[in-house]
Amino acid sequence: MTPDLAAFSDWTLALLPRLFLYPGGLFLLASLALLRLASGGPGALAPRAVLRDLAGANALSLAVAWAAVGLLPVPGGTLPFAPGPHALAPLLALSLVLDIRAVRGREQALAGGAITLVLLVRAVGSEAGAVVWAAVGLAVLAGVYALGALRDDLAAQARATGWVWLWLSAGLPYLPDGLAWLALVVLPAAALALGIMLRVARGERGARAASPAIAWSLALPSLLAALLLAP
Amino acid sequence: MAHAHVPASPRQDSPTSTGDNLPHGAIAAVGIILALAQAVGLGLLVAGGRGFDLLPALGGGLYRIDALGVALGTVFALAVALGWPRSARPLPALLLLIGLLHLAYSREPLLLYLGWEAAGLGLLLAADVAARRAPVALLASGVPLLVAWLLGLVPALSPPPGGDPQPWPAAVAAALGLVVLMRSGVPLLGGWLRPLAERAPFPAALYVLAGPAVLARALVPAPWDALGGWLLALLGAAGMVAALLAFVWGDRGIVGAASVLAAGAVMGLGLASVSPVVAVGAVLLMLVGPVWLCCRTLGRRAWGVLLLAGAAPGAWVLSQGAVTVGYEVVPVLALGGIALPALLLAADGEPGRLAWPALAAGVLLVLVAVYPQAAVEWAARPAVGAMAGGVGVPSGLLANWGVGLALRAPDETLQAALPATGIALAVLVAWAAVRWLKLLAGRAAREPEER
Repeated sequence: MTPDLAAFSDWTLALLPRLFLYPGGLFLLASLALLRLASGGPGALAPRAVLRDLAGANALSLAVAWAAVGLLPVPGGTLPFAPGPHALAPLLALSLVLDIRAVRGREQALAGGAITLVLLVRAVGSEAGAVVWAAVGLAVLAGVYALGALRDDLAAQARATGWVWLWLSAGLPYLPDGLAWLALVVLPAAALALGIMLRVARGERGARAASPAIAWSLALPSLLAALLLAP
Repeated sequence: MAHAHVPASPRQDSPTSTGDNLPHGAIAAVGIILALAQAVGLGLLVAGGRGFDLLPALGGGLYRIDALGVALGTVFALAVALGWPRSARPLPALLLLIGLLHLAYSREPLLLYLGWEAAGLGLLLAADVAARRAPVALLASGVPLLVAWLLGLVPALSPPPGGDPQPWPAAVAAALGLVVLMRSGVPLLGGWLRPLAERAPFPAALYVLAGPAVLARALVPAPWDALGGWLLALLGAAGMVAALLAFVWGDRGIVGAASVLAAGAVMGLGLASVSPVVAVGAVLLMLVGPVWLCCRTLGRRAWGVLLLAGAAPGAWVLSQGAVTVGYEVVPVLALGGIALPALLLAADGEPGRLAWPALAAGVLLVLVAVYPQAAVEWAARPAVGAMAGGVGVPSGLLANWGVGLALRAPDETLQAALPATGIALAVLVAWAAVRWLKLLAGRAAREPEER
C-alpha cells in the first residue's frame, strides 16, 4: 500500500468512531437532547417534534456541522492530519452558508461572520492567555445568542454546539485535565447552558438583546487584545 | 461642455439578466482553445521547472514562458471563455484577453505595462462609458509603474542570471502595490472603477483580479526587501479591510468581492519573500478567483458556497505560512475575509440559472475544495517555482494525496493540517446518514396519519 493510501486508510479508521461515537454521532445526539430540553422543555424531546425537525432539516448543512463536530480537537482518540481551528471555523461557516435563510439573512450572515472571525482570533490568542480566550468566548456566545433568536432548527443547534465546543477546545489548557471530565461534565454542561441561552434569546425580552452588533463589538476588542497580549 | 448623461444599464451581474447565463459563443471558443493550448501545450514545455524566453529582442525575450505564466494565462483565458456575457461585444473581450495574457507572460516591463493598459482599454470599451473621468483615472493609476520603468528601476521580469539578486527597492515595491490596489477597486484608491463596474461587472471584476499578477511577475527576478515586503503586506491588509467594509455596507456586487480577493493576494504576495508557503496560498487565490467569477449565474447562495469552499484552501495555506513567520493576524483577514462575503452573498438569496459554463466553473472549484493537493502540486507550486528570484522553495508545505495538505515544521513535526479530502469524506458519510435518518423520520411521521 502506498504511503498516501495508507494515510487515507488511517484517516478513515480514525474518523469513523469520532463521527459516530465521540465527539460526533451519539455524543452529539445526547448533547443536542440536553440542549433541546433546556431550550424547549420536555416537549422538544417528544418523538413528533424530533421527527418533524429532522424531516425538515437541511441535510447538507447538518452533515457539514456534524462532520465539523466530529473533527473537533478534543482529547479522545488520535486523528492523523487533525484539522485545527483554521480549518474547522470556516467549515462551520460553510454549514451556515448552505443553510442561511432569506428572512433576516443579513443578520444571520453578520452574526455568523463575527463568530467565524473571532474563532480565528482564538487561534491567534491561544498563547496570549486566558484573558483573550475568555474575551473570544464572550464574542462567540454573543454571536450564537444573536443567531439563536433567528433560528431554532436542528442544523442551527448542531452549529451552535460546534462553535461553542470549538471555542472550549482552545481553552483546554485552562480547564481541568482529563477526558472523563471533558466528556461527562464540560461539554454536556456547555450544551445545557447553550440551550438555556437559546431559550432566553427566543423570548420576547431576550430577543431585543439579540443583535449581531453586540457580537461584533465583542469580536473586535478580542482581536485587539490578542494582538496586544501576544508574546 | 456638459457631460452626456449615461443612463445606468440593468444590473449586469444579476443572473436573471437576459443572456448573462450563457457565454458569447465565439469568445468561449477562442478562450477554451487558448486555455487548452496553454495548459497542455505550454504546460508540457514548462514542466519540471523549465522556462524560456520567447521572441528574442532587447538583449532577452519579449515574453517569458514559465509555469507562473502558464497557470495565470490558462485561468484568464478560461475565465473569459466561461464568463463573458453573450450580450456583450466581442472586441472588448479580445482586448481584455490580450492584455491579461501580457500580464501573465511579459518579460519586458514596458510590454507588461502596455498589456495592462490594453486590458484597461478592453474594460473601458466593454463598459461603454462616455464620461472622461474613467479613462483618465485608468491612465493615471498606471503612472507610478511607468515612472519606475523610465527611471530604470524595473528590470526584466526573468530569473536572475546568477548570484544573489538585488531586492526591489522598498519605494518601488510600495509603488507597485499602490498601482495594483488602485486598479483593484478598493475604496479610496479604486473608486474610479465604480461606474465601469456598474456597466460591465464581469470584465471589471476580471480586471481587478488580474492586477496581483504584476506583483507575482515582479517576484520572478528579485525578492522584496524587508521594508518593501512589509509595506506591501500592510497595503494589502488595509485594502482587504477597506474592501470588506465596503462589501458589508455597500453594494455586494461581483467587483466588491473581487476586490477582497485581490487585496488578499496583494497581502500574500507581500509576504512571499519571507515565506514561500504564503506565496503558494496567494497564487492559489489568484487562480481560483477568476474561475469563481464565472459561477455568478448559479445564484447567490451557490456563489457564496463556492467562494468559501473554493478559496478556503488558498486562504488556509496563505494563513499558515504567515503564522510561521509571526504574522498572526493574517488568518483572521484571509479566512475571515472569504467567510464574511460568502455569508453575505448567500444571505442575498437571489436565485440563479443553471448553465454549462457556470456549472463547469463550479465543478472546478469543488474539485479544488475537496482535492486541493492537485491544485497545489500541479499549478501553484510550479508557479511559485518560477518565481525563483524572489521566493524560496515551499518545502514546509506537504501534499498527501490521500488526505490533504499539511504544514511541516523544520523538525519534521506536523504544525497544521487541512485534510480537505478527509473532511469531504466525513461530510459525505454524515450526509448519507442524515439522508437516511430523514427518510426514516418522514416515514415515521406519515405512519400515524395514515392510521
